[in-house]
Amino acid sequence: MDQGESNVKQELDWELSGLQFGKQAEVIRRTHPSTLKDRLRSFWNKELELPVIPLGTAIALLLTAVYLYHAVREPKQAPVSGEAKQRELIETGGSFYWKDEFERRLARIENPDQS
Amino acid sequence: MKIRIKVKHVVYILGLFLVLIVGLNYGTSPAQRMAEADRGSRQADAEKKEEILRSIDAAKPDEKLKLIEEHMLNDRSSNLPRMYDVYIGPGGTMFSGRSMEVDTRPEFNLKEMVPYLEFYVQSGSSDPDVSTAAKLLAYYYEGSGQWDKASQMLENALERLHITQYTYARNELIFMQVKLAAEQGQYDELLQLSEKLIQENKNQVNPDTMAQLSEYLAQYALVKGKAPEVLKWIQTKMEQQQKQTTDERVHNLYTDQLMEIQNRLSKLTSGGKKALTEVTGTITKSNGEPVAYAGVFLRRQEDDNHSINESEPYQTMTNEHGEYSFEGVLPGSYKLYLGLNISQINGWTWPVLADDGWIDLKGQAKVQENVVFQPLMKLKFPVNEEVIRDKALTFEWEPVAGAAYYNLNVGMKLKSGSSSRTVKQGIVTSRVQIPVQDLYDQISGVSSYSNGNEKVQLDPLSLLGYANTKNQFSWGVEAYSADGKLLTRSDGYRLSNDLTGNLPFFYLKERKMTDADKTLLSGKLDKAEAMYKADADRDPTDMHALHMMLTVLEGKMMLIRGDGKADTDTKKALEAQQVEILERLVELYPTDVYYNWLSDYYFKQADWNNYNRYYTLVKSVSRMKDNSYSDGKHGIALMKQEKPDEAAVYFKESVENDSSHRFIGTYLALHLFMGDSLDEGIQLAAKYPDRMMYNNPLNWEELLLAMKRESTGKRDYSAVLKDKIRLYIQGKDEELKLWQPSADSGLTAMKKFMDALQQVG
Repeated sequence: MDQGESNVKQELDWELSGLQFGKQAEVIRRTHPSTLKDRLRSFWNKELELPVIPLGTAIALLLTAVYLYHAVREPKQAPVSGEAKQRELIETGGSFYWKDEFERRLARIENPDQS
Repeated sequence: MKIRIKVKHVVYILGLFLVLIVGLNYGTSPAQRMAEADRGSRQADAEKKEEILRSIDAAKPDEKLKLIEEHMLNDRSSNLPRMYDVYIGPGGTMFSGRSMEVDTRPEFNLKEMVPYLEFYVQSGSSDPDVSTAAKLLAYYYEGSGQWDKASQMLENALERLHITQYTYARNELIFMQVKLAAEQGQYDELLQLSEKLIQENKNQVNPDTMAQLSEYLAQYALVKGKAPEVLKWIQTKMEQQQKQTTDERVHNLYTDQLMEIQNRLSKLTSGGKKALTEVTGTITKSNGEPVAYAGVFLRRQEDDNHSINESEPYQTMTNEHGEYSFEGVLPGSYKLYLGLNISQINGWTWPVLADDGWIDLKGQAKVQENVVFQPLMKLKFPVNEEVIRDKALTFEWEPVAGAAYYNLNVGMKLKSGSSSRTVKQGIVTSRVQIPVQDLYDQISGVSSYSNGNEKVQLDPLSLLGYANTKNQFSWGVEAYSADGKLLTRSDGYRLSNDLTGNLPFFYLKERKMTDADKTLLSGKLDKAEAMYKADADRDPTDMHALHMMLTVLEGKMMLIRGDGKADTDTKKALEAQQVEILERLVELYPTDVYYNWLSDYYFKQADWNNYNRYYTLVKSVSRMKDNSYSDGKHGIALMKQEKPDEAAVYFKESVENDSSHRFIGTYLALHLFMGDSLDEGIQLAAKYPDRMMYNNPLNWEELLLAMKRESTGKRDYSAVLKDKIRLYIQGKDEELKLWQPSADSGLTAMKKFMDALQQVG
């Protein structure tokens, strides 16, 4: 150790002499969790290393699938009134209904899981 | 490439996604969202209307006319029978010529249009739209009592329209003036206008003009007692026009029309001067809201079987307060019909039954006829294609205030259209349980269909009825007050989301379909019949197989159209087979449907012992409250068993409870047979006019009046009449048919009476 380094060391020792490390127990508890609470906390803060490309692809595929599923099963929305000049009525079961609305309602009854 | 991420952050992100999904999907229920969309579209409509009005207000005069045409006049008819989306009356509902397509552009009511239409009439060019605008304005001013303004508008429009180019539009305007003059009792003007109309049409062939005009002139003739002069006037005018035409068809049309007008006028004026009646009333909803600017039609009995057209004389429009009035209506029987836009009837119903709602005018000074729409009933269960697998079916609906009882109707889909029938009447609670077997036993009107040129086929759906586990069924209820007045019903216009919430459809899957059922549904009628027979042979208690054998036989009978001897014999043989099956069925499951069938059969056979037995049984199990038909029928049965006093009791009960008075003919015959005078008969006939044969109105009062005329001076007239009625009582129909009194025998009215009597029932 040459003179320059020794001086820096002395300087550092002097400056750090006021600091005392008192959290040994805490560190041990975190690095080697023993109680259930500690173990849960360690899991909560665990770092995962995730591969971006496969994961991103999987999410994109999933979203597309969900979108397509709904797009196919969702009956066509009726045109907003005002845009369509004519709307058809049907008589069924003794009453009159808007044809588009009636068909939409029946489709929903027959497939209640979709909204 | 990899990313480092803590478990807790993964959980936070997933949590956020979950909240988003739940929030988007379930934050509002679908029904709520639909209702919001509904409110939104109504609001959008109002906004659109304001925007249109603003753009019209801001436009330059030329542009303004175009905009008014586009938004208020295009495709709009000023003729009441074509102006509205739907037309409803006691006979049911009908659409205007545009099938089931309804215009959904923002709808302006008449009041909103008035300033624009006035501008149009003042500044518009020579165009038929001017006539439309003026007529709409005339209806508006007529409704608010401003007759002068109404007639001024029509006059202004007439000045704008080119005299030869727009004859039709001009005619319409003059007709409207004629109508106003007639209603105001300004008869001098009426005659002037009539002359003007004929002058304008002198080069045009339009026989309808005279028919319409004659209606207004008839009013004048009646009030002034000038029928012969008016008739002469019409005759001369028509003959003049007739001479001008070279087309033979039109020529004949004129002749027919002239005859018709003559008949009508002479009939109307036969009793001399007659008092006319003022018919007024209001059309409102039960919440007090007036049904403004709706079409009101006072329709004659003879018009009841066709759709409303321009030539019918009494047509008007309600005003802002829902009030209407017809001045000077000729004596006769009428029914009120309404023309409405979808938004006026949506969610509401006009509670009136087909046989009710007759307005009889006999010269009363005033008659008031108000209409109050009631909200549609709400159904609770079964709805939304619920599948029923139990032995009994529970129907439930929301109770109606003031209802004493309800009638339940059940319907099914058929190949072409649908059928519906009342399965239980007089239900006092808003919930009722029906054993499914009772539905299986219903014979729902066997129906047939044919595709183009193909042979007529029986509809298997109508044969299998409610035993079909694959068919969709529907139901509805009607609420009645204690005195039998219809209060409201569940069937009607349900055109917004809050009204389509519970669709009254269900499936019945209590039973399993047999192989025979499947064969029947596939259209193999004969094969299915054999299979049902085999089923019934294997298990004599198989009610379904027996019932189906009965129904198939009924279908087979329906397909026999001829009435020659061979056909009649086949029918008789089929009927005998049916009776055999029915007798087995009532042993297994006695219901009024089967008992009724048997009692009808023995009625036709005039086998009174068996008839009486089954009639008693029907009464013991009947689920019906309205017995007016069976009472009348039983009256005939008792009459034919020569028990006149008992028969009279049943006839009386029937005519009093049946607004169509379909048994009045036999009731009259019974009275005359028991020694009543023709005068007493005439009074009875006037009290209970026959509404049953409205396609071919049978006026018993007139018939008896004619009999009275021909009986004067004939001492034995009533004895001959009694003899003939006795033949009817004894069932000697052939003998009655053979009796053909000659034209000069002075018995032609009696013969007509006897012929009509045989048709009753």
